[in-house]
Amino acid sequence: VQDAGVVGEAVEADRAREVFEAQHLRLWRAVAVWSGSSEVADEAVAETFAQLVRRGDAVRDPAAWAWRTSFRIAAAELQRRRGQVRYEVHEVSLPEVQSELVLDLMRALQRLSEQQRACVVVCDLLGYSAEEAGPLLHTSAATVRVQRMRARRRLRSLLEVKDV
Amino acid sequence: MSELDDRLNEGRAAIATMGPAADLWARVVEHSTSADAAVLDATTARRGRRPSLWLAVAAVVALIALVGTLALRDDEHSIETVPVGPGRASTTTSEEQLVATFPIPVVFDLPDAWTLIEQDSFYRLGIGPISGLPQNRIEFVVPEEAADAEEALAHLEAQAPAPLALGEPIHPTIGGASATCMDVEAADDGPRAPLFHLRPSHGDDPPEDRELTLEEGAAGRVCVVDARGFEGEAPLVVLVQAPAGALAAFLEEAEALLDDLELGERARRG
Repeated sequence: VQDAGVVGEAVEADRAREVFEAQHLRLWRAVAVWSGSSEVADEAVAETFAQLVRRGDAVRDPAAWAWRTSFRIAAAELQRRRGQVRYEVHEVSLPEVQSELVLDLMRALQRLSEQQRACVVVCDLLGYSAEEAGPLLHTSAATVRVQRMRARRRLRSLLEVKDV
Repeated sequence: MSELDDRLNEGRAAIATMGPAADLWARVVEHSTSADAAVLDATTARRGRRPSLWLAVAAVVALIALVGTLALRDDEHSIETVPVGPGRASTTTSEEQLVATFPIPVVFDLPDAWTLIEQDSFYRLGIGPISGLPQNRIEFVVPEEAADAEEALAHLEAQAPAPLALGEPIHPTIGGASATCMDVEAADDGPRAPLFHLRPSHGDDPPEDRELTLEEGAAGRVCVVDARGFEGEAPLVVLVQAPAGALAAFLEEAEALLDDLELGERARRG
């Protein structure tokens, strides 16, 4: 006879695994670009889903929870790192042969506020709508639109590009 | 299509080639089963996460919330960690730790099944139960309208009897600092009632919803904490709110948390 606790843990792990399979790639990319670090993204996403396994049914919307939690863990880690080392955007493991324009974009993203960066990463680089991004970023669609608009305005300035 | 869109599309194509470590799920399993080994050492954390010179000079930054060493908890009041960062697993232990970003260091135990619900850069720290009524929450903000606790209280009182209805003030201590707390409700049925705006910092654009508001149909208790000398030269406003009929029960939970709250490591004066 299997121990009920063991069975419960297996169910929670299966549920977390399903969410992981559905979300982790885009989530990881979002956190990697947002944080500027593949390493931070690896750790934040892994820790998020580990917590999801442990929390089990206490999490009502595991996908949205995973996004919010990953960004928070990544933010805490960035905060910790900034007190220790100078943080470099090239930690993002983009393919080796990469346009300088893309690298410029990544650097410019790091100069946006956290929320603006999250909005532009999730909407402009990963293709979510403002309505989809709101719950993932724990804010409203209206806020996403406003922050994205500000982010784009700042990016135009930072990248010295103009609308056609 | 703008030149910016062209750049973003190029970035999008590049990002589509990125991927996580191949063993990511193995790390998930490892983290989820090795909580005891991964508990952050409180001494190390305190040292490693102590507000740095940069924080002190900028006077705006981050906070470290360490809980484990602060309070012995009742057995039925188990504690669970919230996200603290890579490698620091969540666990049920008295070595609870919470790290969040906020101008004034705040340290508290997060009850089981609570979480950070709002940690919007430097403006607002909100916590509440993971499940249950979504309006149930405690928010910590630094108000834009006031440079000190007296001004914050004056700003509140100026909004009574309308649009806010305030109760009689009481004077507890919160985190070792003197505070003034009042019950608060919207004077009329209507939309959300703003109490304060959130003080912007860091030169960032403030968040769009930069108000501390009492949600429609909610009642609350607002506390103005004189946080001078606690590494933040600003008043700290704490708002506990819940739907009006549920406030009394939620206040019990909130007060248990606030009773044990500390305002970080006290700044040395002078």
